[in-house]
Amino acid sequence: MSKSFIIEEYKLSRNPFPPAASGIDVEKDLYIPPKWEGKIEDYYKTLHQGKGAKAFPIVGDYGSGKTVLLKGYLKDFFESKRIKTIYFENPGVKFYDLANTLMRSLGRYEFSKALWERCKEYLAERGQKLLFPMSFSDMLATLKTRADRERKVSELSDVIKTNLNLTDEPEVAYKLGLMVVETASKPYFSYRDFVVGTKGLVAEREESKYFKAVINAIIKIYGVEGVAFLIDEFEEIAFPKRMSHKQTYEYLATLRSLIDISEKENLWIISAMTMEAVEETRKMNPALWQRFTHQDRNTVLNLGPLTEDESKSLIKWWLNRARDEDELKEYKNKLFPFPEDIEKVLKRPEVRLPRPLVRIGFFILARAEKEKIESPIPIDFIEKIINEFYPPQTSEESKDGRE
Amino acid sequence: MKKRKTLWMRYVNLDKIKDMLHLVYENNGKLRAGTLEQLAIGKKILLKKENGKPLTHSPRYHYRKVMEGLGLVEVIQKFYYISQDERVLKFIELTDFKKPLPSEAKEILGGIIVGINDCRKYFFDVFIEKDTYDLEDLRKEGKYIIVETKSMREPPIKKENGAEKNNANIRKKKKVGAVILKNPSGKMIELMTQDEIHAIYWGVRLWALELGISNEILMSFAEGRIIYPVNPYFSDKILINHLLNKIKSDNSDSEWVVIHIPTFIKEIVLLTRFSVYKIKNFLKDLKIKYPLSTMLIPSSTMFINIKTPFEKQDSAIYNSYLYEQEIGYISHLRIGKRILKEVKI
Repeated sequence: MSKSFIIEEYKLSRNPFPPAASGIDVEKDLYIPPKWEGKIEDYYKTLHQGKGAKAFPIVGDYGSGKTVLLKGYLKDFFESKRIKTIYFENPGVKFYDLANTLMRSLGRYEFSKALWERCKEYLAERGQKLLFPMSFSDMLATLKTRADRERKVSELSDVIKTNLNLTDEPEVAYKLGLMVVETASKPYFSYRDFVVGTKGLVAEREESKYFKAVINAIIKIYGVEGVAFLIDEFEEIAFPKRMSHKQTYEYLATLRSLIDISEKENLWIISAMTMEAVEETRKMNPALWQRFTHQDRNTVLNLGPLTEDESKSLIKWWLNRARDEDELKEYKNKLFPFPEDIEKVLKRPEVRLPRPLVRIGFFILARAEKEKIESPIPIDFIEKIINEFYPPQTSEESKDGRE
Repeated sequence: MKKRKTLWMRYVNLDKIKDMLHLVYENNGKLRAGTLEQLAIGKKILLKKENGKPLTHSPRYHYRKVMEGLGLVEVIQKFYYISQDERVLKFIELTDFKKPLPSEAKEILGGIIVGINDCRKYFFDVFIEKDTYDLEDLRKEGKYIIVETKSMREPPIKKENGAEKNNANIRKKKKVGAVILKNPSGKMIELMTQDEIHAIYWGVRLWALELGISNEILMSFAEGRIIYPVNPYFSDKILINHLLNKIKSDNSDSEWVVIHIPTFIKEIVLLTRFSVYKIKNFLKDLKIKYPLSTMLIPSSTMFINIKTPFEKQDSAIYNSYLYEQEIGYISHLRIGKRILKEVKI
């Protein structure tokens, strides 16, 4: 059987570029420009040692690689430093939205079980030794009456406060104990659990302290040194029209609470934002923005367009994904079937963002394959496709301005 | 003649005023109020845009009163005559029935409006120090003003404890929704009554905007609307210099400088009073002239929308952003520092 055109002519097992080029399934060892890596390492070292907030924003246009950087690079970066990462995608502006997303991502049963496991050794010290170790579900099964449950909550909250030192607030410790004990009847978190009130798990006016206790619990039960929140555009939530004053206030209050916690605990806050979000946050609360970006050190990671060389490296990284087969390996780290001088058509900065590059890559290969274009693909063919997807601005368009 | 206690200015469509003026011109001295209105309805001028039904009595009355107030017509023994003012005759000559107002005609109408005492006393005077001025003086020497509205002066709604809440309720009293027009030099006009607000804020102000006498920008609700007489002597050199200075003052290690477009527009407006439209075109032209050193950065509308709690102010807010079809609103411009070598002033 004859080989397909794409293997034969382009030395690729398939078109490796994803067509939509957004929401890419992020993998490990992604291509990240060295200057971004350098800055992240630099911010980490500086903020790790300092006393301020362990937080920095990642600012970029649409398609500049914010999400990929959070999921595909920072996750590994922090985990290699024994810091557990939790990724939040549009979690909402309210503090309990964030708590909700966090706890749901951990899972109530798993979190409660892990917390109980840590409490168990201290409970045992207090004279509750058993011949056979009791499992979490066995323990829950013993809590038949309300009195049993109340007693267990009290024991757990005492251990949480005194032995595990997750919090010094009795009410917060009680609520965490309650979370463990109620797992039998409520194995999943619900929205109301994180809304302050009598039925919720969060203590009145103690959202921040509750959150801090949860962070400490994560550190203890997962045996890590810290926690990093990777927040993807948390201002970009789907309100039907506009943020009200209240929601704006909540957005700022949530950001402030996170920064407060990150100053005292080993909590890292990395938030991806659009430029307009930066502009408005800075205007709404300049002092808060300064704490977030550490004033003179200016820890803002701006994701601008890639350089021509970085653009070529990104294209090579994607091409490599379709060159794992032995017969294609010799073409690894080559631009082929693209011409070596592809930078000639990558001069405009808007096409040198990661998403446009990937999109362009997909369509060039797809069209070239369909039209049976010989390799290397001619530069004018590539230019035609780039101009089709990212038309250069002309005087005619300019006249069409809105008044 | 009985002196009016209320102001006659209201927001009316200036194209319809022009069309009604043509009706009077063609039937000079033959039409009374009722017959003029009926003829205007018959000629499909005084009709509602949404359903094509005739306008109700009140707006029809305002159309006639605005024509009278602007001195476009004279009413002699209840019959409507065309004014003999040369500017009015020229205005008729330059315009056509049911066709849009050409720019020369807009200019004449602008001159007429700026010359009307009621319009000057309640609106145009706040822009300029001297007492005697015309449209050209206003454009040359006028200053920008800031609009302060009732809701901007109100304290935040949030109250923490119950006692304060109760006191607030006791004190709750409907305030007069005054609109204050403030010139930074200290001069100001207070629009205290509903009549003044309708006549000036929703009347003369919008005429001035439509006729290109003034432009407006609104950066955020808290800052207030900025209104300014447009300086017609546009020069892109000032803009280029301002832009290059911004780039030169950036001391980051990045090869790019990011400019927030609404902030740039505001800075230029306060410095030069150039039209927003021309400033935006200048920025768009940069992308055409220097495609390798400039990049337009789109923004989501989420953070544009939170700048004001009032939906009606959105269009004024959006006006400070560039707009590109299929891309949307552009909030920032990224400029390569190498443009410093490319630009020749």
